[in-house]
Amino acid sequence: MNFKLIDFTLKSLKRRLTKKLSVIFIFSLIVFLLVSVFSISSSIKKELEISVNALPEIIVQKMSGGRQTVIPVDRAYEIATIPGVQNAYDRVWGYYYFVNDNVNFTVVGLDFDLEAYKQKYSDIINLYAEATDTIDAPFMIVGSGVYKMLEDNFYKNFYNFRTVTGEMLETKIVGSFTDVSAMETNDVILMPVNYVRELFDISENYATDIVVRIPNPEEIEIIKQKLNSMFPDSRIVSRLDIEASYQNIFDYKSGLFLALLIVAFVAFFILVYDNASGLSIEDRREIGILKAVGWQVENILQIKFIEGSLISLFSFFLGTGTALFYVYILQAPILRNLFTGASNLKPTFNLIPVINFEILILIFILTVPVYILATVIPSWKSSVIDADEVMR
Amino acid sequence: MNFRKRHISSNVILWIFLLVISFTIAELFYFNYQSDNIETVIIQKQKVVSIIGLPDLALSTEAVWLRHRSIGNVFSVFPDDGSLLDYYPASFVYTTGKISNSPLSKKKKEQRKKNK
Repeated sequence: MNFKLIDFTLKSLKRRLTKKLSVIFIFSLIVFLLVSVFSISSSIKKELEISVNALPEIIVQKMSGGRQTVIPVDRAYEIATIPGVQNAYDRVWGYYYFVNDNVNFTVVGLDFDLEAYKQKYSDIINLYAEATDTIDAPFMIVGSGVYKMLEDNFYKNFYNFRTVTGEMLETKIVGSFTDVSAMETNDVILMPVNYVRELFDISENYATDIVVRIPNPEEIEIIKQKLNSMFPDSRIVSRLDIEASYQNIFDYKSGLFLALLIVAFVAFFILVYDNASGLSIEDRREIGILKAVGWQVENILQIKFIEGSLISLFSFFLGTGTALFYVYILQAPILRNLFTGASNLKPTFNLIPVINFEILILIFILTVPVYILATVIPSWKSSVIDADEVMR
Repeated sequence: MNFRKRHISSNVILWIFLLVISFTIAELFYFNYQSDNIETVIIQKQKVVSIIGLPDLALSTEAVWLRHRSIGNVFSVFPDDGSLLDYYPASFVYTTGKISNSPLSKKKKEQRKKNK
């Protein structure tokens, strides 16, 4: 490597710095946008992948007229007798419309006396009150979004739920989920199951759905088929279905991002085409002078290759670096609105860092070599012509 | 008057170039290391999900057919509501006004009209 050539290229770049700055700006901006959007998307995908493994293997819902309805609790006992099923239990949950801010909370009923739940609480819930099993009055554990929203509406430590019969159910807030799980729990309210039944007017003989736990993953599909034949009026959702549903969202989203990618690359190729379609008079004169003082075509091409490499590598790394900083340190302000809903209840965006090297390499291959070629080819065209003709 | 144009030295350009590249590479290593060391975060998230038992993220809470869509309609991108032509995240680029849509603000508007 001839370092004098690098020095010469840098000096040549220095003379035309303002002109090249616009190229660097657009190049970096395109890389920045692509890396930012793909990083956010990868992080959300990772978040879903983490949560899917903790979901129940099968959820049984009763359908009526194409819509979900309450399911008899007795079915849980029938399901528990199927060989391969570890346990099956009924669950009561639903949506509570919070009229003040036009949002829906997810209210989940839980048996707080179960020892298994007590063990799980400590590191994921901040408890503000005494131990939950000693409280007689209605109480709830809320997601951080719900907590902030209720506080903004002057419900400091409690909330008055309006039950389906129109009565008020004053419920004390005894704890909130930590911010680590904000993406999963932002809109969630955990309440003792008997109060959730009261809130939604669901009798003890019915539940929202039934959860089936199956230890052996090989048996899930067979048990799903069995459940389908046992309860023809039910929709059986397995964990595989949920994974497929996630994949559907990401296939759809990938299409949108592909459209964004195409638009960005069209803009980039216009820039490259503009560069490749002809050199400026100043560039041609420079090549002419270099040829006149005895430089060979090979040397000129080396300079142009170094120049193209410096500009494209600098722009690529600048775009990638700022995008990673913007997404994972600043938590993607403005751009995150593309991913969160239009609702007032938005989760805090604590994205898990995920570096998708495949995407980075793809963006690198589609930009850097293309730009280098677009710098070298017109210079080669000019440098093979006689010096006086180039300068004329 | 003698105006002297200040030029940036080529060494400075080279240093900026090296600085940007090393900063980005350091960032890539740092975030990649972080993504490999989030065991406690994963365990906490999985605990939460195992308690709640519901899928999907709390990104879309404005409509019940958007929250927990995976157990509502498994294979459709446009679930339940026929008027929902586009879906996450395209529909989030623009939104209707939060205040004008709220039933409470409508009531307030009506009250103001009556007061006038």
